[in-house]
Parts: sequence; structure tokens; C-alpha cells
Amino acid sequence: MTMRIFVSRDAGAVAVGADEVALALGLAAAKRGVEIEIVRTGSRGLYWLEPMVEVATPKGRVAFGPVTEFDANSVLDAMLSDQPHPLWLGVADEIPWAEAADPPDLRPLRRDRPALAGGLPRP
Amino acid sequence: MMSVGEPWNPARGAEIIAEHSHLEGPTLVILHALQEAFGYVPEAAIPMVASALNLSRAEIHGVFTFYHDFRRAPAGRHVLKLCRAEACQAAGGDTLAARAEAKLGIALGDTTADDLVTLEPIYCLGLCATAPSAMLDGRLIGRLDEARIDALVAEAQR
Repeated sequence: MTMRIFVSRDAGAVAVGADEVALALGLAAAKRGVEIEIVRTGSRGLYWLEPMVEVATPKGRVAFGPVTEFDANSVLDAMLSDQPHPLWLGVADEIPWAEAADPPDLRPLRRDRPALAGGLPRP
Repeated sequence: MMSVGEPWNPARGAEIIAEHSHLEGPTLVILHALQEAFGYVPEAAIPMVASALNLSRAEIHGVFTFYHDFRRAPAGRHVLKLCRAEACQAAGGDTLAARAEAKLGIALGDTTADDLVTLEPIYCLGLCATAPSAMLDGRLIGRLDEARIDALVAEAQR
């Protein structure tokens, strides 16, 4: 089955190397003879973790970050084998962020929009 | 994106102005088109735009000088913009700007003698979360450090 991998194409992610990471993942997959589909999305807004790479799994999308092009091989191996990796972040939707600083009534707003942006492929 | 344009030619300028003067709100469109063609907005074009649009020279001059992306002189072949706004300053941008100035032998706002590189300050690229940031010929770069700024300067000098 084709593995779906998500990489942001947001300007902020591209500025820290998202394009190079997407390219490197493609090369790493070709080298292993693995079929992957790279979907370029918006950013979830977790810029300190960009370039953040996600892979679709039965548990949900599992994220790694910040990934550089030099990490592409090891990250892809971790995705394929479901093995631990230093850049592993867990299920993307469950990454807590900025909650401590946010008033509780704003949390749903602040979480939903970036999650949508990160979830949808962009043309 | 290279910023080298054709040499200023009043007839060509008039042609560009005429091409856009029928539009609604044509001033910015014309200034952009002039800069696109010549690499800058020649001083001589300002009264021509004013006359074509039946506006005063002061009005066109006002619009032209308000937007710092409009140039009064041609830029170098490559334009390196360093963000000098607050977040980038707080993240070490001062040191990196000084480093770029020293490497190129020019100050922010200047162009190297060989017309290869224009170094400019810019006030916020919206990449505060990955500050300090820069833009080389329209390409955004975040998380600058000494190695990255050196690489950008070297790329601009090629």
C-alpha cells in the first residue's frame, strides 16, 4: 500500500527547508523501492517543529520534526518500521502547544484552524 | 528573480504608462510595470505618470516613496534582504547583519561596486517564529545563523 506522507508547503516551512525535505524523502523512498505519496499541506502553525513531516497510520497521523534533508533516510526508516526516532513527536493532532499561555475559552479556536490548515492538501 | 532591466527609454516608458492608464487605480500598477521593465522607476517617469493620469507630480511622488520596494536606482543582480525588525533583532539579527555587511564590504541599503549584490534591510517577513530571517531574490530563508548567512552571501556573489 502506498504510504502517505505530509509535508507543509507553507512559506514559513519552505523557508526552513520543507522543499528539500520533501525531495530527500522522495529519493530515500526510491532508494528503498518503497511507494510513497507526498502530500503538500498548509502548516499547523507549529513553526518551531517545521519542517514537520507526518505519516498516515491507523493511529492517526504521526509527526516527526524538525526534520532536515539529512534526516530523511532515518525518518523514513522509522516510519516504515514503526521504530523510535529522536524526532518522533507522536500523533500530530495530540501535540499540545501554547495551551499554558492560552485562555481556555480560546483553545478550540486556536487549535482547530491550524489543524485544518495542516490537514488539507494545497493546490 | 533577477532585478536587471532594460535601459531607460522615454518612448518605452510612455508605452508602458499608456498600456495601464485606462485601469481603475492605475498608479501602483504603472509603477510596478515600470520597475518590472527597467529594474527601477526612473525619476523622469514620475512627471510622465502624473501627466497621463491627470494627477500632480507630488501625488505620484508620494505613492512612489511610500512603498520602499520601488527603487529610484537599479539594484544589483541579486538582492539580499535581511529582516531588521524586532523579533529578528531579538534573535541575533544585529550580529548577522553586521556579518553580511562585513563580508560584502557594504552597508545595508548599498550595492556592491561590481553591481552584483544589493543588501537591504526589510521590516518583517512574517517569519518571526523562525527568526532571524532573510530573503534572497524573492526566496525566503528562516533560522539564519552564521553558516547560513555566509552561504547566502556566497550564493548572491555568484
